[in-house]
Amino acid sequence: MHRILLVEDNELSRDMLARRLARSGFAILLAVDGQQAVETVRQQKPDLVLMDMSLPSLDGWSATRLLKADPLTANIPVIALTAHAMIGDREKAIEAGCDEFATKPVDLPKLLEAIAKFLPVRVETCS
Amino acid sequence: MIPAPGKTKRYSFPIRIPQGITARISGLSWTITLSTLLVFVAASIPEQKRDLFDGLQSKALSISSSLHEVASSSAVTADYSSLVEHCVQVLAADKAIEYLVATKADGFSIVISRDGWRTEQLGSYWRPAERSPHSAITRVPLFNKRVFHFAVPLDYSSIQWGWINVGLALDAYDQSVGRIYTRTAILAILCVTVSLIASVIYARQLVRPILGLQTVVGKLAEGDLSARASIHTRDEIESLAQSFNSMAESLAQRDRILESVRFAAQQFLSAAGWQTVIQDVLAKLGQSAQASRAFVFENHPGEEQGLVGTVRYQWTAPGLKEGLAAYPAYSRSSNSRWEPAAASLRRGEVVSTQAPDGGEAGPCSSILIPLEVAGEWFGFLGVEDWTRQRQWNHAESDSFRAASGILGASITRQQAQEYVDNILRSMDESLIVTDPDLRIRRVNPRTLDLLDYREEDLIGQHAGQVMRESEGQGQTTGVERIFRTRSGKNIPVLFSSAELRNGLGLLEGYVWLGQDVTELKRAQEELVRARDEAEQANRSKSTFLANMSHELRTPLNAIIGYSQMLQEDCGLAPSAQFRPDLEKIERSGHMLLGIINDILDLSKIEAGRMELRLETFSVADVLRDVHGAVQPLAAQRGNLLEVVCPDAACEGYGDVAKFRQSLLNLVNNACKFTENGKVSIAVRKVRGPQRTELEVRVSDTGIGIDPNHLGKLFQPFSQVDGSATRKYGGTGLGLAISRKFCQMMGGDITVKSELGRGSEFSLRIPVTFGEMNAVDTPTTTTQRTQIVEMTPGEKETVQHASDLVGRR
Repeated sequence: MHRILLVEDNELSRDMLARRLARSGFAILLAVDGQQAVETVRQQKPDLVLMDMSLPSLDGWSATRLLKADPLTANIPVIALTAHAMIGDREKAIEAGCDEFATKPVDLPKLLEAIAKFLPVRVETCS
Repeated sequence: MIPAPGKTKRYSFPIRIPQGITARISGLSWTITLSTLLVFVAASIPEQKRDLFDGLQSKALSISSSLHEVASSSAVTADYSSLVEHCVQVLAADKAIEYLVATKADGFSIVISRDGWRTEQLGSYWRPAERSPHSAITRVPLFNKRVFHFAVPLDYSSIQWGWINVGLALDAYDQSVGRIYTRTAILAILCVTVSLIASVIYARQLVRPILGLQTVVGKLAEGDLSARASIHTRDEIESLAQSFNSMAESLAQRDRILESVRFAAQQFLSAAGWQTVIQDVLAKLGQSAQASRAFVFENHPGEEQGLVGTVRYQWTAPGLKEGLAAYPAYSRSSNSRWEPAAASLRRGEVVSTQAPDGGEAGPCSSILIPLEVAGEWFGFLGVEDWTRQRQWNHAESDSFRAASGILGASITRQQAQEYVDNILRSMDESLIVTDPDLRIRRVNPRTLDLLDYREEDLIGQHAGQVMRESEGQGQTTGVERIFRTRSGKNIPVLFSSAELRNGLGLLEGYVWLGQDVTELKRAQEELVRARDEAEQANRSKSTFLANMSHELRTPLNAIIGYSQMLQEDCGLAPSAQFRPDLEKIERSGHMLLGIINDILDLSKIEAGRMELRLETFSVADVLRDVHGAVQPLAAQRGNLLEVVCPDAACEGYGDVAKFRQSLLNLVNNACKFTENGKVSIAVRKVRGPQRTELEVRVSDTGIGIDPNHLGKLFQPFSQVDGSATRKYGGTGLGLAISRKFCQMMGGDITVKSELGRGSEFSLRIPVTFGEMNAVDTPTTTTQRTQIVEMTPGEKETVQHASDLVGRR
């Protein structure tokens, strides 16, 4: 089962997405800010990171940069997840090192598609 | 004397000793007198001498006659004593007798003289062969004395006895002859003297008037035109003098007129305005011409013949005022004769008229000289004489013409001057003219206003006084400089400097032009401030919108997410009855998301940050999408949705997503505002004058739009009727956004509508690349561009543009 780190400061969004992703057959790790996210990635080495960009203490862009700067974590894909749908947001995220970009509100099927690009589909499915 | 050509210098001595005519006349008369005298003397002196001679002869004859008797008887008797005695008596009785000699043919002679008597044998002198009496004044040999010798033959009884010789003393004779000579000489001298004096006096008298004339000519030649000859000789010279005087008179008049012309020229040149001196000039002209009136007549512009005008300025001789009041003006209406006169004047000819009936009612003679100003017929200069008929001579005519020419030139000059002044006065810019050393020569009124100077305070000053930076020389155009007012205030001006060069190309100075830009600068600063504020406000708005977007999306994320999750749950759980409500929640969430996206789109458009991904796309695909998306709504509203696309392979060029969004919006609206009607989507290509366009017409049979509302249909937040929002939903942003999208793609959306009958929206975009309206699309194209059949130039442009925007 793939482990996905969901970094989200908003409690509702975190809870909702975590539960939906869990249903989709992923093991979910949670982090509420950038600092925690970096620590968790270093410790747990998840298969993929869903990174909200607007985060307290250390924001998503900085956290992504830290992860991508560390050889140990650089190859873990990071999908930016942001409610910032204004122009330049996508570029900004890609520039910070994100591998993919998705906007909120989350369109789950699209998100799953994006995740599937990085994580090969396993035979095992959620029962 | 008549001066020889080139010898007029001789007139520098007006009074001189007469040599010429006087000498010649007196010499001639004297010569005549002298020769007459000579003839007289030559004729009278021999005559008188002959008389004396004849007297001597007759005396000698009477003496010889008295002796003849005695001698004859003595000869007969041969007794000579009686003869001697007689002779002695005779001799004694007359002292004048020098001698008496009786000579016999054989030479025997009795000689009786003052010394006594004797007999002597004498030669042939005393008894010449020719026997006839003869007499002579001669020196006789015997006495060796000059006497009157008279010899007469003594014959008696046919016997040639001998001769009787009488010698008379010449004392009395000589005395008489001497007297004759003396008298004649005295007379001659007297005559010569008197005649000489008389002839000189006469000649002088004859020549004096000529000399007088000569003196006057000399004076005239030296410029004294008042000199006149006063000669009353009642002859040709007097008439000559009269002619001369009249000539001098006309010369003087000509001089007076010329003087008045000179006066006119001087006045016009020195005066500020011709109007100020024209009165003086006219007076001088009129007086010098001895005229009654001199005036300037100005045409009224616009008149065909120019005959209607006014006497602008005039001078009248004293006493003319009354007559003038009744005298008609020079106008077509009052005098038919002025028509041809005006025609002549227009041609530049001088018109001179004579009126025999003048005097009280009008001028007897008048002369009109055309006045030309700047090449146009301006009017005329008129001179009239109300007192007498006169022929205007050439001198007068020419002088008037000269005066008129000067006046015309003066008016022309003044008009040109005024024209320049008017230009300078009407300028809103400050104009400063300097000399090459930057001394101010001239300024316009605006400069004085702007800099708060009086003109006399600026003229002659260095230009540095009014301009802070004095590098104003050279060709400087459109730069900003600072002018300094009298009080030291700085005034920013838009400044231009040009070199002032004369006709020869020599530098005469500089022309500065300064436009006060104080207000402009203030406005500019305000504009900059306003722009900054607006930009700040816009930034704030963008930030606000971004934040709003983020803040709105976050709860929406939860709402939509949870409702989707619950729906999924419903599929699993037995609580399926909640599903419709959950769907409503989700739909509302999506609707809210749509609104947020619309607002974001609009703000992006307004901020010029909307991106277009231009490409050639299939219209049919879009139509399919739209049809599929709208069909449920159409069905729900009971509408028939019809799509007409004759060309299945039809293509458009633009941002397919934006095109789809626009079209969807139009069709959605049509379905929304139509109930149980028909919504039609018709596609066709329109070949316009410049390009071919793709036109999609969306027509419906719905409620239609009030014509009054059509104008603001495409304004954001302006759903035509407030109640519509409530009834039909929507933000009123859709049309505004759709139209903006189309305009950005180089097309447009237009609308036709009839209230209650339905509406028709036409959406047009280009069908090929390169037909976008570049001005209306403040956007960046980041998508790959499909380059189809472009010229190399276009390709290069596109390539360059793509590089600039960061091609991806």
